[in-house]
Amino acid sequence: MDLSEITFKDDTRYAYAVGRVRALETKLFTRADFSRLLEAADFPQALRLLAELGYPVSEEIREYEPVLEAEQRAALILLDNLSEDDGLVEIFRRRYDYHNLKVLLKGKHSGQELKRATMDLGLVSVDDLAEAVMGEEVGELPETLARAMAGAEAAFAESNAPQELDVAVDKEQYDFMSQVLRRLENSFLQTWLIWEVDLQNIKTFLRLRWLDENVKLLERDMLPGGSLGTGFFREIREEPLDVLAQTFTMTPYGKAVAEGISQLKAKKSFASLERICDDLLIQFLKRSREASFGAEPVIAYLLLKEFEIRAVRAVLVGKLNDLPKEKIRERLPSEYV
Amino acid sequence: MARLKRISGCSVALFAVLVMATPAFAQAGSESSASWFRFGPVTLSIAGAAIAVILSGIGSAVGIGYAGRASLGAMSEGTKDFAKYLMLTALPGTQGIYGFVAAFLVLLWSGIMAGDTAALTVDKGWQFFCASLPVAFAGLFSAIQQGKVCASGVNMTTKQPTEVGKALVLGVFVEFYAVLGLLITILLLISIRG
Repeated sequence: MDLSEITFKDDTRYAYAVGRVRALETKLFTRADFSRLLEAADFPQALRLLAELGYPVSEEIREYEPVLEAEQRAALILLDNLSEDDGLVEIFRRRYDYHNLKVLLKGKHSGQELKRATMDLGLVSVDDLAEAVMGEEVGELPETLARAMAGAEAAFAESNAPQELDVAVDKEQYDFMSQVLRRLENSFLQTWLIWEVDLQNIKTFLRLRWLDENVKLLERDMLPGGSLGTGFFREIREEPLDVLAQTFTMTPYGKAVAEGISQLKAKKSFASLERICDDLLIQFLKRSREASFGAEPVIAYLLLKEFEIRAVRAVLVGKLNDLPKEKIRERLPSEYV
Repeated sequence: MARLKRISGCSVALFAVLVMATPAFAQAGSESSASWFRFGPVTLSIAGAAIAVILSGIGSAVGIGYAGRASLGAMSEGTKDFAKYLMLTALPGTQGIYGFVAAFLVLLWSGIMAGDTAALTVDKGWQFFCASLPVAFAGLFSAIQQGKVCASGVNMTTKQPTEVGKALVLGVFVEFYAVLGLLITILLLISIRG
């Protein structure tokens, strides 16, 4: 879907919500805030700075993950409170159920205790989900999760490859999200999802192409709901990398793909490509400032907050591992550095 | 938009009922028309005054609702620019006042307020009714749109507090058309009064 096709609904039910979100947007981290965080001498100082910037860091907290999860929870609670459409709360909280499902399934099949990697931010509690995964009892689970679990188990039984678990759950997740967004008839959010899926597929494609994996994996790993189908990627699969960049010129991702490929060739790393894709999505989300009424600014705030939290996590992990600030900076979206 | 259509639809229906119910129509129609259904000049003038207040009042209430909710949203996150938000929220309220002024003039100049309606004819009643329409409809639509402009102005002011002046100026542009409506209503009332 092209940007010119996006229309903002004049949904005045969101007048209060948008007013509140505009105030919250002024508290999102700026370049200056990230610059201060990057300048922090060590991990404890970075945590102290984070507290100054409004994150819920208390004196006794030594770990960063609970802090980030609390901030994430606050953003989701805000969505719960401000959303006038149940479907929106469902898709944006359900994403955590899919994440937890993937973690628990991988834990089950690898025999490892991975519950620590779950995030209790979804609509189904991690304990209930764990019970369902371990007992293979899907009776209590919502239909989409039950389907995702059954699909993942079937795919894993066939191939015994742990990646199959991720792919099967991701496919169900994006399928479910596009169905709900289609029902809500919100062109901004529908386009956001298409962009997210397309960029995810482009990254997967370039990774497979770079590693020279076979075409079977391409068909397995492509997510549904984007504007570029598996056929498109299959057709261009044999093209040299330089030509590949040109095949995307007619899409909104042309410049990003070209830059991503040149960075990939120069640095032999996918970090820049990830960053470029994030930049594109952040720029897209910032278009929500054109809407005075509607759910778009509320969702855009939630997603921008998630980008911010992810960037903060990258800085803290870097500080914890004593990485030089230039190395950390490379991983942050250009919006923040 | 659906709400606007509903309000417009109700107004047209009210207008049609009044036309059907005036003595000229009632007499031309069936003999069995009930007498309570026949509106005279006083009723028409009162209907004019009422419609001016009701429609412009609805417009102002809806418009203030939009701007007010946006202001409350911003202030609930600790934004301390109450004075700026107050100005933007109050702006769509003027249409309601215009409707009130027009209704007051209709009641005064038709003689209803003084209890002297002997000289009021059905024609005059219709004239008072029609003279009330410009302020009623201009007030209704402009207040709702002004509320949207002001809510956007509130959102802009939250991010750029120094730009409140620009938000107010753009809000006032919408006000202009309500003022024109009031002006025409007053001119019509003056000419009816003679």
